[in-house]
Amino acid sequence: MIDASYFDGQNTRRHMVTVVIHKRVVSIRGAGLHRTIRISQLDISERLQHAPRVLRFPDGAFIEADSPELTRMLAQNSYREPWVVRWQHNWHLSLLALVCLLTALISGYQWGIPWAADMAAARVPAALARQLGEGELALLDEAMMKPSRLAVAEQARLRLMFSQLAQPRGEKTPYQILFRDSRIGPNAFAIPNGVIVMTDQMVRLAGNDLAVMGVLAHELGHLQRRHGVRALLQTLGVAALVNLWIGDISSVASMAPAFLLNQNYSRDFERESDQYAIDMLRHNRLALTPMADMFARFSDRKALQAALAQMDDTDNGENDADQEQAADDAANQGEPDPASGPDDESKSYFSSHPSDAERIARLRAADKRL
Amino acid sequence: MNLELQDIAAAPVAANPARVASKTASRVPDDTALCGVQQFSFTGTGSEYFRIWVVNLLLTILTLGIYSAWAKVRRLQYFYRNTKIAGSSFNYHGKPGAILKGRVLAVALLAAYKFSWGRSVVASLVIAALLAAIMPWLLSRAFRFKMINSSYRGLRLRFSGTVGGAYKALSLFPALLALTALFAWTVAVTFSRNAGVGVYLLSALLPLLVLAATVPAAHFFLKRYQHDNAYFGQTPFFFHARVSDFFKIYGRAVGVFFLGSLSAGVFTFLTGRMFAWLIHGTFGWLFEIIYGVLSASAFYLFLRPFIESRVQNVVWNSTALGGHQFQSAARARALVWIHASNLMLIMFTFGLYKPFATIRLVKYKVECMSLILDDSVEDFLVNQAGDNAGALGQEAGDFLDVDIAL
Repeated sequence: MIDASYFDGQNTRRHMVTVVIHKRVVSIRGAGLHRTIRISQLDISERLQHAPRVLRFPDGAFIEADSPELTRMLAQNSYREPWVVRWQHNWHLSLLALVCLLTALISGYQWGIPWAADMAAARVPAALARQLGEGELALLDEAMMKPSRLAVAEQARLRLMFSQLAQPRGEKTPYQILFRDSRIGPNAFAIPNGVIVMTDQMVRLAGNDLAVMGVLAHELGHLQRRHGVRALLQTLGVAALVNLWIGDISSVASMAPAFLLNQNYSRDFERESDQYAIDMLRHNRLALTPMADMFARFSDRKALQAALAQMDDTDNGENDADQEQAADDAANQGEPDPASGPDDESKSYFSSHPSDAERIARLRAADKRL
Repeated sequence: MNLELQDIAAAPVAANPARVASKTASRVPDDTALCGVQQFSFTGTGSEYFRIWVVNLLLTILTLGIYSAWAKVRRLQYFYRNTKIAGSSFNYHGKPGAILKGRVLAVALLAAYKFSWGRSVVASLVIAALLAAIMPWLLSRAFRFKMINSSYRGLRLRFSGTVGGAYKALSLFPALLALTALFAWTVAVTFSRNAGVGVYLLSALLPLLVLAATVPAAHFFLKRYQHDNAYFGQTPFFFHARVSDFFKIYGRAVGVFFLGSLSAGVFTFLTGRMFAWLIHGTFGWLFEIIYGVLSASAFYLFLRPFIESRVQNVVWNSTALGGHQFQSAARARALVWIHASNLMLIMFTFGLYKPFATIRLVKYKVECMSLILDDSVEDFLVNQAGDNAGALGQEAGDFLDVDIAL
């Protein structure tokens, strides 16, 4: 027998009653009050540690009692809690749920989102991709580019040279090469509408037709694998995942993890495109070492800049690098990674590209196997 | 602002005399002595909610989101039933089926919008206009659903706001904004041939000014719509705040923001060289990240708690249930501390602290509130129109439920 409060559902007056449950029949008694009912006809609220439990009659009246004793009485009368409630009250099972949850989230991130984005990207209408790309190109031109100062004949020669290379596996990915004078240093971009933007500075830095071909092949890889649209879709997926996990603690705070998670995807794309460039050049029996040399030169240049910046104790060089990084991120598929340097290892989680050392090694290794 | 959290703080809107304290678990004390100030209390704990949260999340993922409706009911029941005043707790009666219907509708609307986005400008504009047009209607249904499914001591809350009222309360802001934008555009176009600085300044500042004028007003109208149309059984809620109260809060918030950025500027000026040195150090990248997160969260950490606490206080200090006055004494400083430490702990635990953080915040916001009972009443009566446990009102409420963040 336990004490409980009874409310008739018509007003807020509390009636003191005693509750007895015997042979699956609930019986309550108070001043001028006596009701009996089968357990099965009651609407029984779920068990909570610190909240009273409510047994509701079909007519809206109910009794409210502190939960431990009531729960014991219910159990004695073979009332079974819903399985979700039993699960929630069991620490071992809850921790098991946590492990399953983390597994689901991590594999969703690792495989689920990339797979879904890949599937969906193949179904994105070409018109939409073109529209996306046109907007991106306009933005790029406005913010960071000027018309190319490369001789028209030179442009035509490079275009012709690249068009004569066969795409690997007999693919026929359509593309269009545009040359631009860059305000942000050497870079190249692949844009979802099939445009490859090559900067004059990149051509100059490459200093070698083979390296230019390598860079173009890398960008073609971005196009062929639809990295632009996939990145967009994956960003949506990651945002949904982060929102599911930590909810809306704040838009700013949830942006940081989303950014880090996306950078990992971006590095995967760069590796994929590097591999595509390797495939394409080897397919045409061309050497990859010139491209590797170009990365090495680029890497040295950045190291020098960083060293200068540190010596002067002005953050000029670093600023430049940051700007390049920002521009690079904005355009999504920029070519060389400006943010690496002596502290490559520590920064790799935050970078959109794999480290120069890793990329150079891969390119050189490809040549050795030739 | 997150309506869900506000809901929980806003849900406890009813009270009655009851026992003063009961240490002995099942002794039910006498109610008759109850009068005066009754404090709201919240008995939920992070460790218990953590398990509910984990199981909810896992089942939601495994069922591809379908379980989320059941999860919502379990979550809200946890918060409602752990919120107590005058010896009794609240209860939530929402049916998962109804919530699921609402969610399917919301997802369909969102999908239609996203789908139309890339296709054609006209289609996406039409859908966006449609969404904006039905938003007040959705909102009034959502309020109604939430209230009719909340109860205290067996009596349901009730929301009697009309759809028309929702349009009046909610369309003021976008309409004014659109009008001003149109006006600014007209001015800019008219004078663009020999545009002076003044015209540019006007066309740029005007929308900002209108925004400054409409956000507090819109917030006020929404709160008034919400609180002035609510009932507990037969007893109406009264809302007697004024627009000027909201303008004061937002005005001060802008002041706080400027003062904050001023002091931040001075700090940056003084520590600039040290900052540069730290950035170039071995752990520069770590420092960079911490600094970035801190400065990016400035709004979240200071401005939001300020507005949150002041609005809660103004709203509840201006709300009465019949002759019983609510009181709220939330402090911005306490909220800043709760938000900041929650954010840090969530970051360091990769999100595992989230349920504990939620409980902490809700506990603070609920326990800031109290109800001054006018006289020793136990006589709130059910509304005879039949919206209690009866079918009529519930059907209306069951129609749909949509979570809308405001």
